[in-house]
Amino acid sequence: MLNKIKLLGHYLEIFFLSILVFLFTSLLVCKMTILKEEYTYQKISEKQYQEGLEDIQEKMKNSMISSGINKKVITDTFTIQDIKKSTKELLDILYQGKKKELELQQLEEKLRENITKDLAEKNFIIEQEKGLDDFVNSIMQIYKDEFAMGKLFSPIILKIGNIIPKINNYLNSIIIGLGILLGLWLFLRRKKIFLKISVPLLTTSFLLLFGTYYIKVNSGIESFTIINTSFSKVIRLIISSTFEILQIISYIYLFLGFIFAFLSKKNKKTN
Amino acid sequence: MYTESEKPNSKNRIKAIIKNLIIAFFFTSFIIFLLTLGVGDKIDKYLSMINTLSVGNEIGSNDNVRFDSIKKKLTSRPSWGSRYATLKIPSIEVELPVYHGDFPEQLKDGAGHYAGSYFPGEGGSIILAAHNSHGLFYNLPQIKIGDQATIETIYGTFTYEVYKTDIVDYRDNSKFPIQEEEEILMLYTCYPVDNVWYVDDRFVAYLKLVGDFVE
Repeated sequence: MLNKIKLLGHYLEIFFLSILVFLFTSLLVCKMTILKEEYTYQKISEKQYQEGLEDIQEKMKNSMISSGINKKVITDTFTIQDIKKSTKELLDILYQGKKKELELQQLEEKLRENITKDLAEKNFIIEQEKGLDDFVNSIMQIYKDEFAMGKLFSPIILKIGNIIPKINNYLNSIIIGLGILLGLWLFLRRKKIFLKISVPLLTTSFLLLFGTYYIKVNSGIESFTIINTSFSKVIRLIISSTFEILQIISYIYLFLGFIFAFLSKKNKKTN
Repeated sequence: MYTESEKPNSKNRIKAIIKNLIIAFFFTSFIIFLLTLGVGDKIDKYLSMINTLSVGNEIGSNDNVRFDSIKKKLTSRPSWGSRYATLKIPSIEVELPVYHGDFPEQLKDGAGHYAGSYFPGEGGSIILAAHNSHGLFYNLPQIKIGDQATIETIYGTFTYEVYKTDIVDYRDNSKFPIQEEEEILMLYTCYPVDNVWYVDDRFVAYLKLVGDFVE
């Protein structure tokens, strides 16, 4: 009877340890990747900024077809530095939740100046400033929309900006707590570690592999498309690199699980 | 002293590995079962939401696109950015290529299919947009109730009839309902069509599917 209880206790212990290892691993990876502003920022390449700039300029040019204003005004006003600056500001809004909008004052003034210059070159006189204001506002609206900070998407972005810092704070506490529990367990069970740790590692490996595969297949998340092509590409890149890291960890855990199972026969003996 | 089954020889080590694999597999299945019971519905709901915004982005032919007329479903979607249909509205002299996607690169040359909507024949909401320029949807506001439009896709032809038109604010999502009870085609463009810059209003024509599809 006592042996049966010990056996049940052993399996319960490794079951809860499996859940602990899985949670600790997956939460830590999410915290260091998709929920980390610097990680997202570093993933965006020069090519993506350039594509983003071209997307935005294309939309603006399309919207001013009948205006008579030279499209060169758009290419002279909106540069790759502006895209980089606005991208950083958008990430600050999303991840820190402190800012509430993009800083576009200087860009707006530059646009107004370039339009006035273009009209002056054509000997057009602006009789109604309101007309120019409306035009500048409409172009800036397109710019904001492309960064998901227009009227349609900005409530969602601001909501996410409120949620992500809270999630990060909770995750910090949870990960530290789980880490302490794991560390304590490793210390207390250090003599039987080979016997106990293999199954949790293998279980975590299977869960990570199954989880990433299930999400990829059922959501098509690696083909996620929203707002514009470059915005979508960045989201896809972050998600696929996070999945890659989870898969690499699952293979490492699989390997370690085998090693510990192999070594578990080394120390066990009876008198 | 070791018992026979506890001797650290190759056979027992392999047995230990296999035993641990089986236990791990059982634990994994049990955890997945618990998750499915507890939050399975929510997970499926969020995954299908993401799915509606996920499109294939392979550039290539649409040879694998097939339509199951019994299940009313495409076996695979047209590839992103590709032309998959022609939209014809004889009453307002519109004939445009239809592309999968509604980003600038698709809207340059024709009508863009909003990726979050259904495809013709699937029994749900279909949203097509085009610029209000001449040769695109400049004439759309002249469409009348009762006018017909056809979409000749790579898998069949579908005919629709206008039952309503409206001028809406582009932010009002309730005017572009995504639903799967009835096949409704929504065609929209910026309004007024003679504007010289970006506007908030959209002219929308709502059409119902009429008749059977023609392969």
